[in-house]
Amino acid sequence: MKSKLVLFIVVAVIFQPIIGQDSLMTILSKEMEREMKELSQQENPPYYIDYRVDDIKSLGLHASFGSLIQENEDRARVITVNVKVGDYNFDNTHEFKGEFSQPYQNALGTVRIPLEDNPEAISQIIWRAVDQNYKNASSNFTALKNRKNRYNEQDVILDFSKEYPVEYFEPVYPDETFKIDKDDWIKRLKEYTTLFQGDSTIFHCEAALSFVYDRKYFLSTENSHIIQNSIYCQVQFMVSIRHNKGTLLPLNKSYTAFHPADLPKHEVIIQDIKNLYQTLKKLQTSELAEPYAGPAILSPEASGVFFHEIFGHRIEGHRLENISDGQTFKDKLNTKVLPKGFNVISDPTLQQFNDQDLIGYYKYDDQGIEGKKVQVVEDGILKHFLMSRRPTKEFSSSTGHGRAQAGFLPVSRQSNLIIESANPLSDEDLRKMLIKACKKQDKEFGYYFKSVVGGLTITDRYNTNVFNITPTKVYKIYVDGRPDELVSGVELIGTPLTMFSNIEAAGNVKKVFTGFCGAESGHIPVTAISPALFVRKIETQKSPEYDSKIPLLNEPEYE
Amino acid sequence: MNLNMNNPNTNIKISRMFIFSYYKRLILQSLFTLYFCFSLNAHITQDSVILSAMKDELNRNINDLSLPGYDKPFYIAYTIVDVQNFEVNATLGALLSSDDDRYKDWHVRVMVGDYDLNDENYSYTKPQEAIFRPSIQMPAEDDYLGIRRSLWLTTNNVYHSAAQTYKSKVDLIKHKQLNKSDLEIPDFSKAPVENIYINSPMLRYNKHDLEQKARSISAVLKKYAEIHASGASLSVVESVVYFVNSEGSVVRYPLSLASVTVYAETMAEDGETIKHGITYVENDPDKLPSADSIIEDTKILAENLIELRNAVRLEENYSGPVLLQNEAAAGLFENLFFNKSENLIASRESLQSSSQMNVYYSQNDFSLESKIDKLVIAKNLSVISKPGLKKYNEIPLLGSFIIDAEGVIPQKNLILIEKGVLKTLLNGRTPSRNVPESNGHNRFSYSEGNFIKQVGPGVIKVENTEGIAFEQLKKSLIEQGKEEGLTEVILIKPLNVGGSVKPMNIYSIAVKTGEEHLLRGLKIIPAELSVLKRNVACSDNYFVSNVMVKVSYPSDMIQRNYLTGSLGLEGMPASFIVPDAVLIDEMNFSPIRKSLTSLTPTISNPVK
Repeated sequence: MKSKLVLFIVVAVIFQPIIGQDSLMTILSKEMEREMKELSQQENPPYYIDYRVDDIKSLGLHASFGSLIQENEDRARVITVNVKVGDYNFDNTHEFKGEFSQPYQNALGTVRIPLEDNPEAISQIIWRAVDQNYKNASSNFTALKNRKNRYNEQDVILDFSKEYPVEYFEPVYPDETFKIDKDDWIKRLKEYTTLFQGDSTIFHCEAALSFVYDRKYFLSTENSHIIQNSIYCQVQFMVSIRHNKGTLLPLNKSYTAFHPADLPKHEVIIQDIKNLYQTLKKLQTSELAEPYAGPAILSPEASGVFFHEIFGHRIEGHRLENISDGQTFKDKLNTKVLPKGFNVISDPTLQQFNDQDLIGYYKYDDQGIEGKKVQVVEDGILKHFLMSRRPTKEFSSSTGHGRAQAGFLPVSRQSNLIIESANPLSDEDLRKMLIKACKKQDKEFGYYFKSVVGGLTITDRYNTNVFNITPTKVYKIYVDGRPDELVSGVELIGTPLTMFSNIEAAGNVKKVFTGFCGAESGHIPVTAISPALFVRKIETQKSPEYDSKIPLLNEPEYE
Repeated sequence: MNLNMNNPNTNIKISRMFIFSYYKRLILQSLFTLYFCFSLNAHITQDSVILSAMKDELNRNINDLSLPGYDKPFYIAYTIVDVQNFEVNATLGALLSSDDDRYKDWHVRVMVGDYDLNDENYSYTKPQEAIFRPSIQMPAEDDYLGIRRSLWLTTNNVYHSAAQTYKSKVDLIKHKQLNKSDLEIPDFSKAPVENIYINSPMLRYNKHDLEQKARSISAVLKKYAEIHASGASLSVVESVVYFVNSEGSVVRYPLSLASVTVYAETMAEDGETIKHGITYVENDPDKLPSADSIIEDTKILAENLIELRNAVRLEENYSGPVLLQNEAAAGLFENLFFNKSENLIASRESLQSSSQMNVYYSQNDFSLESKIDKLVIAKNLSVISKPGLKKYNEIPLLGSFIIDAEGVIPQKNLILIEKGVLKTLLNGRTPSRNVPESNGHNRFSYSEGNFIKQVGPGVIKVENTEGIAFEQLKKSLIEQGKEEGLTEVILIKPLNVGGSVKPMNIYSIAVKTGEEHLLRGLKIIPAELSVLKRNVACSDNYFVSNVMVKVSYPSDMIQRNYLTGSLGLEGMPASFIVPDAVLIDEMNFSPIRKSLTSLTPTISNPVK
């Protein structure tokens, strides 16, 4: 009792300044206190409430073939409330074995609150959101409690981990931080896409700049008060060319940084786009590859996506107690899951890698828990899962990986996923290994997956547990020493455990893949940092094919 | 689970634009006066970029577009709507959002064949093709080559589809040994070439002022603890329509709309949610009522909601006579004439090929086409379309327009129903069995930021030859109730506030005492046009209702829902001039079921 009291006093003394420093936090705190007080009179009072507010400013510019096709600038404040009824041991989110899990979205979906710090206007909207969420939580809890006796649960796992409260405050960024020279950027985007004019086989060409600043608020009835900034900008190119046989081949390129000033220089991007065009022209006449099973090298970027999909999603803690999930690694802790010498780390505290900004970085997660570096695999042995506040049998506390898009409730998700090898090999050595393996498997060639656009995986047990990676640049490496040959129309497919057992070696240069990962708690920014991988056996399938026709008339300027 | 290097949240608007660019659509909308100029070239200065791009691309395509083995196009039309949008939402005095957007909506129509027989009005099972055709979004800027590039690809795609469809149609006709004369209805009607250029200064709305207006209107609802949610939204859509076709028409005119919506929600003690709103629509934000005037209306709205919390619940079904006043009367006519599937809009039957290769015209059982020259409503009523009428009793008419979306000047006085007998229907350039020519009613309807073309009303007058004073109508209502052995009859009257969409209060009148009670907890069962065929007694006064009509869209005939933001502008601007009170023999109402679980808030409203 005494220790609790001391904690309370310390907390109160520390938190007062944060509430005082930010008028929105003051409004949110007062409303939370009022609601908790009134709800405490209910038969099933909540034991926990949290609010998240994402105050998001965004700017988007899109150009195509030298014209600006879209320009938008928005600001929105989105609130997400989480009301929990019961207690840490057993609450309204409890999942009995054999029953499907709770929805991951708020009762009222995406709720917007005013952009201005008006106490009555903000409080009334929150009141309705909390009231509805409380009603749902309370009725779920009653229903679950009534079913409790029906299940004889052997493992007593908390429904919500007990954590320390946090107070953290970052000052708001000055206006200049979110300012860019819009006219200059429009000019640049137009110039990038002008490079593709006059080629009737380029079917789609778009350059876009997006710049997003999210000032994130978190507060809970456990006395956590957090205000942090999240910012990133991205330049993207999406181009498709018509293959000589009619199908369409996409090629993408993107650059990401926290601030536009840190994006590559204009000249560098121009040169990259010129190179991209050269690659597209080579792809246009490249061979459309047949399905294949055999050895392959995955470039660092391709390996990053590969690991994110086949490995990263299977170490997200909340899945492992869910009966409907494939639970690939549930009972694999302290066993060998990857070749000796392989390490896998999830590190949300990392802000840069080789001068590249990492958008998987955050200070606190969306449950108000400090993001911690997690050694997931050490020397090939599985050591830890990525934990939100949903405990597993083995891990009772969060590692600060509870993440969600605004409007969704957090589950355990990835941040910056880092793959390392204690025995890195040079590109030349990887190539030698590939050729050796090809010979052994009696293959004329192996594959080199150079760049990828993304991938997907399925982890539940009601569907086939497969993954699919979409490469954009793939080369055949011939055993007989012929030059490497660019091919197209290939997708990398497979099942997780077979893949893990086929990874044999890693390269000595790590690179970053930056992406937006979509799962049950929405889309979140992530990165994967990986060396190249040599895989003894992979499988490919043909990409979907679309017949495409060149327009009957020439482009207007070339009529 | 998926990972993508592109942020999925940044491309939403792009995909929307790509999707609709594939479809063949035409254009149109109403507009409001200003001046005509028939000398096009003299006035094309700043617009020259858009119109030049349209004309140059149209000329190139109509002359050169040709797919080997297929016919060339015989008709091409382009429409570009250059749009500037602004929308602000506020609640209890604070801004929730304030967004503006600039874009161009565009439509391309390409026909292969000729006026009598072309690729349109034909349904067949197209072969499944996995063919990808490129398209480029129309630039927001006035970018000559950008506009042409977008038109070039869309024309290419629409032409491919039209050419293949036409070939299939001709092959079918040949195969079945039909002659052109066997096809009873031509596919496209001829229309005069129009060169119309209506200049207008761009609206000069002040964003800051509109934000302040939304704040001040919404703030007044802070005074009502019974209101659980509320807001005010203000929306301005300012656009210019450009239309060119291969017949030589060149048209440019402004098309603007502005609205304010104020809404509020409360809950009765038994958990019934009661929400109402008022929407004001004008063609210029400066014509919208002042903040003070809307605030006064908002107070009435809030007090009415509080009164409704304690109103009597309808406990059993009602079927009997109903007296409708003002917007309720206009809503009844609007719904029966234009929202229902059986309405005053021409219906084209399309040529179909069945699996047995029979060729026939589709049958539209709901169309009023077959009832031309027949009695469809009571003999004391006539319905006339007067699209050119700008004002009625000094009230400006929102639905007035000069030219339609197909570049056709509408017929000024079009009698749709004469003394109960159906004479014709509204139509565009696609002939129907009984309406072979366009009467200029293919108009623009605003939907989720896009302008879509649809045949629909502009200004509609319902004339009544036997006007009866309101008090007399009320007496008749009670008498009728008595005759039917009812204890109560129903009166629907709108709340006494401004605006075009407003709450409709439903009252029961005791037939014995004449006492009126406000009702809640009921819904209206949609009526059919036949309700107007029986006794319809109307008042001797006319009333104007300016509304956004959702044509052929099932809607509550009276209790129109308010929509916030630009949604408040969804539909086609129209005006109804109707008798201000209408007594009909029968309407049906049913009670809304009560919830058995408590829906009332567990926590008290923080606004006290």
